[in-house]
Amino acid sequence: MAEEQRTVARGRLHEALHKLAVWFAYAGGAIVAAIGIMSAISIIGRTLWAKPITGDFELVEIGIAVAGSLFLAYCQITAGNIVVDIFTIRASDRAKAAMDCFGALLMAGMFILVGWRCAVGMTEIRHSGETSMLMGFPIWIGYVCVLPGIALAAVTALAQGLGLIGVSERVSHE
Amino acid sequence: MSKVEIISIVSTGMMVLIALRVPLGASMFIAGAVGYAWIVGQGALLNYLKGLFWARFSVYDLSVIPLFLLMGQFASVAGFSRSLFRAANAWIGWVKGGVAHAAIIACACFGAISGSSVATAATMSQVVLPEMKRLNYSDRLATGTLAAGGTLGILLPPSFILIIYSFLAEQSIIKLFAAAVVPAVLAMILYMASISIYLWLWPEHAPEKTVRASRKEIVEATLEAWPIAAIFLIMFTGIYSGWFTATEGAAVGASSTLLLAILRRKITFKSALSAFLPAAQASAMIYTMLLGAAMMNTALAVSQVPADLSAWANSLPYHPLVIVGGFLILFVFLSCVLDELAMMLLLLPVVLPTIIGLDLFGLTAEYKAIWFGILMLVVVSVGLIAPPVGLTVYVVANIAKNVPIGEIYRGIMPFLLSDIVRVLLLLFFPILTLYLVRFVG
Amino acid sequence: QTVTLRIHQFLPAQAPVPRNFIAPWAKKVEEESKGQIKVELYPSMQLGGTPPQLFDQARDGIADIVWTLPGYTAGRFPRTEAFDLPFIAGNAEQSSQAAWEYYEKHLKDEFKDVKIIAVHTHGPGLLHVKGNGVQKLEDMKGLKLRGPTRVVNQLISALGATPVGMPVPAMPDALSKGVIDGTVVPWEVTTPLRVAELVQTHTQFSGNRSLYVTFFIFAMNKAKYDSLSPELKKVIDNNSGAATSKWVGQVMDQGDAPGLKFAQDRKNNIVTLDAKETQRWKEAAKPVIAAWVADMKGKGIDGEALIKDVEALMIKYAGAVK
Ligand code: NA
Ligand code: NA
Repeated sequence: MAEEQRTVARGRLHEALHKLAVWFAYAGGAIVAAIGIMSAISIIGRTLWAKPITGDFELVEIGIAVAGSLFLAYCQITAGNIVVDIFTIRASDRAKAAMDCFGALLMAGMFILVGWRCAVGMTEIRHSGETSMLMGFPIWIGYVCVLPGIALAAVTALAQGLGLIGVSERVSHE
Repeated sequence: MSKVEIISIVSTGMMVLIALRVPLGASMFIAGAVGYAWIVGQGALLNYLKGLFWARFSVYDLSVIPLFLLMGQFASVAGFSRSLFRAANAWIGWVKGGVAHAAIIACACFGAISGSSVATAATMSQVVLPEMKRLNYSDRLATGTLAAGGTLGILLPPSFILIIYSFLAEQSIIKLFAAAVVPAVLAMILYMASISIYLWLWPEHAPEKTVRASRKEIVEATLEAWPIAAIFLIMFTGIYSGWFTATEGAAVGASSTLLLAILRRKITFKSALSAFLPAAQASAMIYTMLLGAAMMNTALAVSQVPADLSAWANSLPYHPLVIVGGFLILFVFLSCVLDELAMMLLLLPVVLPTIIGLDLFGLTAEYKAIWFGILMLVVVSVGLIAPPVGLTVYVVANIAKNVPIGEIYRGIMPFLLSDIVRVLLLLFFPILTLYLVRFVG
Repeated sequence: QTVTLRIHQFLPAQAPVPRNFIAPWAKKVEEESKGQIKVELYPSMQLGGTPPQLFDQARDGIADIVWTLPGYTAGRFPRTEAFDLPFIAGNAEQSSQAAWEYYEKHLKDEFKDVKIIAVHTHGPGLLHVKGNGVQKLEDMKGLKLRGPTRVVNQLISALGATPVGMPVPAMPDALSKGVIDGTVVPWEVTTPLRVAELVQTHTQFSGNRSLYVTFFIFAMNKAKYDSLSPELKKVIDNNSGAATSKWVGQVMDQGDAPGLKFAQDRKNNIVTLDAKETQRWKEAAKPVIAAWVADMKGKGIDGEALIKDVEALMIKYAGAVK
């Protein structure tokens, strides 16, 4: 009975994190698509009227950083990161599962470390008042926008590492 | 402890982590962080990490990666791979082994709008394998053709390996794309020659005669496929000769692929959304590896090991081409156990300074970097089909579920032989790679 | 017990300042310390990060010494921008001497997190444009130009052109593809980026003040400096300050010569606008100065006083405005 409840809870947590990761990925994809359209408009503006969108390069840089961060959790929960399995082909399923948990814990460690330091960097850059060159966009806001993506990736990897959800449950892309 | 010893220890640790199925990005990151803290100090590490994420993720030149991924996804979702194959097949499907030839051509066309070999092999296999089965092609030839054809996905621009190489080696992406064109076309021709020779030796692997497509069928199939070719042409004419940067080219390509799919009613809002997911997964995978590699490379830089190795390699009493060849062989061996992208991220910081330092045909540093980038790309593409771990072979095996993997590797052999010929040609005749570079930039 | 100093910067080792200033400076310090200081050079951002992050790397001790532009981090070192203003500075040797004195008077607070070894500017910035280029102020209209800093981009706007922001390495591609029509850089930068092969006309100005210059710093991590023995501190001090700043300025001016010669050898059109036309540009650039003063006022800084000081210092080192 307890076992069964645990399986249900596991499934629910997995589903919830997966759904969140998918929404994050959609948001990131929308940003990438917006970057594409913005660049196309800027090309037309610059070709026809010599008026590109001011700061189009900066917008791409900021947008792509945010989009990239929003993709992390989806890649983590769908086991999209590359692992080398040739040395462990003969290992038992239990051993493989244990190694995958270990790997997820290290991923979580990386995301937590990078996210934490990025947050510290954000407070410093906010204090120093750095902006982008053309639009005067405050860089610290860019730093803020990448934090949720890193955080969700960290939470997902941690849940995998602690065995709260499965690691290698691949989701097909149909 | 000396810096060399520290780097040896953390590199060994990294290899252990990799062998224990720890994701490559995390393996590189952890090893790099430990090495850096060990050499420079913990406080410096914590400070370094403050800017690391932003430095690696907000890069204009890397924004082409998600854009090209998205474009490939739109093309797959809209079924453009089928149109390309139909057109190629209508034209040459009637010759002996014609469907296999058509598959190679369609792979090349799809590869010209997709940056990834996995995507090319997967998409084309779904379309072509059933057709080859229906016409009584042997499983061996059919799967071998598609696994080899898939590698054209990274050989032909756009190519993720080249985009990342351009970033790491600080070379113009446009020049690298131009440099890849002749080697990729050479690959396509040699693959088709391999098919012909193979069928000349073992004719039973393909049906004797197939029906020639009617004029109407040819016209229809060509009409269906030409807008895809047009998108490719606009994108690359724009990038090479006219009006935009690589990122903008990718943006134009992705937008127009989506537009074409919408016009043809081949894509819905829902399927467009679903196209985001594989693009998201692959982008994050690449970005995570770049993050880990940045940490490891910085640790390598402070150890000054790459500079020492470069000086050492330059003092060796061998012909420079022997050293280049040695690196390529090392790459081939490593590709048996390592992912191709990881291999590049791990080795480039050490290998590239050495290559630039060699005297090769009197080439400039820029041309050496471009030429070596293409050689490496070609070797990586060989690694994608070479046993024991050929990534595109796995992709094809995943779709042709009834074909044993050993059978696919047997089918790969003629193509592998042609790859060796190609690597030697490119190694001894840099002009093949560098000829087109002069006309851009 | 030897001390290792890591010098980190964004240009390749063969560029003029890394080759003719940073490397000899490092050698000099090593010799004068009698081998107690060992300098490691990391060109081309080898220690990771991006050029805008260089200042923080010195502050945080990721590198011990960096060479960078405060202008990379727009808005962060507002007082240094006085040197970026149009037609205020001159050649690099004179401007760098003025810059050091200006640093001692006004910038100690902005750079209090690091130990400044030298400050300097590059040589006169000028216009490099495709085709017939710029022969008079009106030719600026509709041009897409890349500018290096916030103030210069405002200047480009004020003169009628459109500023396009992009990283320096992207510039040659962007020029050859027509993404931009031209760029504003000093001669020194044109050589590595092969600008003279991509444009046909170079436009400079008469008189002893230039369209713009950019402010640079050569800065050391404070804790690292404090940790040195008095004797080694003296070695660093002996290689810091006015004379060192003047030295970098000279290297910058010398770096300009090959760029100019290369453009001449290619038979590019090198236009020098006469005094009357230059005066029109100075008038057109005035709103940029006014906007900057207003901007400084918002930050509680007396911009007008800063400009007066820069002008006085430039007269001291370069003579009256001609
Ligand atoms: Na491709
Ligand atoms: Na392989």
